[in-house]
Amino acid sequence: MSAQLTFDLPTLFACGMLLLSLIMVSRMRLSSLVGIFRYQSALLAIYAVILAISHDEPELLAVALFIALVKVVLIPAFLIRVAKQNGVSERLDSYLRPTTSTSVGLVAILLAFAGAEATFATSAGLIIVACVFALILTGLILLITRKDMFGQGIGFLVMENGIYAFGLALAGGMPIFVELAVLFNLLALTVLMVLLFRVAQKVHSSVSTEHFKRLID
Amino acid sequence: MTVSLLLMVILVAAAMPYLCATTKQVRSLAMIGSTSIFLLSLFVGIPALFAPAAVTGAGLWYIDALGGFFVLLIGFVQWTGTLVSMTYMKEEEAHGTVTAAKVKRYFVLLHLFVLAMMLAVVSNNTGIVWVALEGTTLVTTLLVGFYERKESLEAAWKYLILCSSGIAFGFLGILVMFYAASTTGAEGVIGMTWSGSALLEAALPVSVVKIAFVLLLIGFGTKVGLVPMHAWLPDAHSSAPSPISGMLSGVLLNAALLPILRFKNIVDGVAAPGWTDQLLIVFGVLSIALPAAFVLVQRDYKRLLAYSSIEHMGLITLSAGLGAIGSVAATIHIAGHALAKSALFFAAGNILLKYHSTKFENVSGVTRILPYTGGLFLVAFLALLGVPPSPLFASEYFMAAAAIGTHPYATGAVFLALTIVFAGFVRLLMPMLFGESPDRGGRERWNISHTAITLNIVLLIGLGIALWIAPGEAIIQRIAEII
Repeated sequence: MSAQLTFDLPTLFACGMLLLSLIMVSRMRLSSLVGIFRYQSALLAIYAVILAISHDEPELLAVALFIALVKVVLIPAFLIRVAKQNGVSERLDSYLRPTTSTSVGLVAILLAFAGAEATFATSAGLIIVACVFALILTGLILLITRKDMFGQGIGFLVMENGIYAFGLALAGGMPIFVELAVLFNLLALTVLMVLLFRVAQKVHSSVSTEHFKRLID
Repeated sequence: MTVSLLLMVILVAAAMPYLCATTKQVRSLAMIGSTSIFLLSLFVGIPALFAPAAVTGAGLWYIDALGGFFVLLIGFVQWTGTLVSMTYMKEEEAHGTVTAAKVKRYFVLLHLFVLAMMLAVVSNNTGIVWVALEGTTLVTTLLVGFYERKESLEAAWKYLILCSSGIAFGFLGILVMFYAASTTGAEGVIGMTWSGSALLEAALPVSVVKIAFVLLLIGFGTKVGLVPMHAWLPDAHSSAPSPISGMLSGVLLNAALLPILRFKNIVDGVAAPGWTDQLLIVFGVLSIALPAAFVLVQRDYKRLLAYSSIEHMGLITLSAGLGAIGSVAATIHIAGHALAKSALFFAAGNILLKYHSTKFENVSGVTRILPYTGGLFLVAFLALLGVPPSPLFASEYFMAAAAIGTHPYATGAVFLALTIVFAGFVRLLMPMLFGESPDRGGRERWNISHTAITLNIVLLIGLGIALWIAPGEAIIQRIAEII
C-alpha cells in the first residue's frame, strides 16, 4: 500500500507542477504569475519531502526546507516587494495572446512526453520525467514569449524548477552541498534580476524589453 | 593545500577593498593581491603540468596537466588584467565616470570573478563546476552593467538571462550524467566527480550519456559563445570595462570550454569513436563562419574583438574535434588566443580612455596619438591574425593539417571565413591605427598598463618560440593528450 502511495504521489505532484506552469503561460498579471510560481515551488518542496520519506534519505528534508525558504518565501516576496516599491505595472506583456500561448504550451507538453518516451523509456516514473521535461519547456516558452523583464525572469525560475524536479525525479537528488549551492546561486540570480529591474525602471521608466534594441549589428 | 590556499588568497583579495580608506590603497592592495594570486597559480599550475592527475583537498580538487594549464592562464591574465585595471580605474575616476565607491566595487567583483573561474577549473565535483561557472555569470553581470547606461542595462540583462538559461541545460546534462552513473551502481557523490566518472566510464549507458553530452554542449557551449548560442557575447564583452572584457574573452570562455573537453573524454570512452568529434566540428565551423559575416559590417572596435572571440572559440572547438593533432592545435590556440585577445582588449581600453568612443568613425591615428598603445595593439592584432612567430600561426597550421584530409569541405569553408575575417580586420583597424587625426594634446606616457600588455605579448611570442623546442613541445603534448 505504502509503495503504491509513494509511486503515485510524486507523479501527482509532477503533474500538478506542470499544470500550474501551463496556467502561468497564459497569465498576464504580475501578482498572479508570482503567486502561481509560489504554489509550484511549494509542490516542489513537498515532492522533495515525499522522496525523502519514500527513499529514506533524511537529507532531502533539509533540501525541501531550503526550497520552501528560497522559492516559496524569499523569491516571491522579494519580487512583489520590488515591483510595488518601483511602481512596476501589474500588467505584463507578451508576443502571444493567452490562447495562443496555451496552445504552444500544450504542443510543448506533447513534445516533452514524446521525447521522454524515446529517451528514458526504460526508467521508472516515465510520466514524472515527461512532466519535468514539459515544465522546462513551458518555462522556456515564458522566457521567449514575454516582452518584459519580470515575465522573462519568472520564465527562467520555472525552467529552473523543472531542472530541480528532474534532479529529484531521476537522480534521486544531488549531493546536498551541490543542492544548496544551486539554491544559493538562484537566490543571487534573483537579487541580480531585481537590481536590473530597478535600473530599468530608473532608466526607461519601464521593465519592458522593447527598449532593448540599441545593441544590434 | 596549495589549491585551497590559492582560493583563500583570492577571497581575501576580494574582501580587501572594503578595508581601504582611499582608492589609491584599493588599487595598491589589488596589485599585491593579484600578484600573490599569480605566484600561487605558478605553484599550483607548473607541478601539475608534469604530474599525473591528482585529487587533493579531501576530494574537493582535481588537477591534471590540462587543469594546471588553465590555472596558469587564469593566474597570468588576471594579473595583467588587474595591472591594467589600476590605470583604467584611476583614469575613469579622474574623469568622473565612476565614483570611489564604484572603484571599490569594481575590484571586489574582479577578484570574485577570478575566484569563480579558478573554482570552475580546479573543482572535482561537476555540480560545483557548474555553480562556479554560473557564479561567473552573476558576478560579471554586475561588471557588464557597471556604467548603468541604457546599453549596459541591455547587455547585462541579455547576458544574465541568455547565459543563465543556456547554462541551465548544462546542469541538466550533469544531472543526466549523474543518473547514468547511478545506473552503474555508483552511490553518493562519485558519479558527479571528474575522478569518479573516469573510473565509471566503461559501464555508463551509451544512449543516456549521448543525451547528456548534447545537453552539456548546448549548456556550456552557450557560455563559450558557440554559434547559435552566442547572441549575448558581443553585447556583454563590448559593454564591460575594457580590462574585464579582456578577461571575459581571454580566459572565461576557455574556462567554460574545459568541462566540455572533460565530458568529451568521458563520452569518448563509451560512445562510438568520433561521435563527439562530429558535434564539435559542426559547432566549431558554425562559430567560425558566422562572425566572418559580422566582422565586415562592424562599426565598433570592441564589438569587432568580441566577434573575433566567437570565431576563435570556434577554431578551438573545431580543433578539439580533430583527433590527436587537432588537440595539439586546440591547446596552442587556447593559450595564444587568451594572451592576444586580452592584450587587445587592454589596449582598446587605453584607446577608449583617450577617444571616449568605441566607434571606428571617431577613432583614427592611434599610433600617432597613442604611440605605445598603438604599437602594442598592432603587434597583438598581427599575433591574433596568426602572423609568425605567433603561436596562432602554428595552431591554425596544425588544425588545417588535421582537417584537410578528413574534412576537406569544412576546411575550405573555415579558410574562406578566416580570409574574410583577416580582410575585415585589416580594412577596419588599419585606418584606426594609421589614419589622419587632429592632435589631441599631450604625448602618451608609458604606464603600468603598457607594461602589462607587453607582458602578455612577450609571453605570447615566447610561447610561439617554445612550441618548436623539445621541452615546450613535450608540455603541449602532455596537455593535448588529455583533450
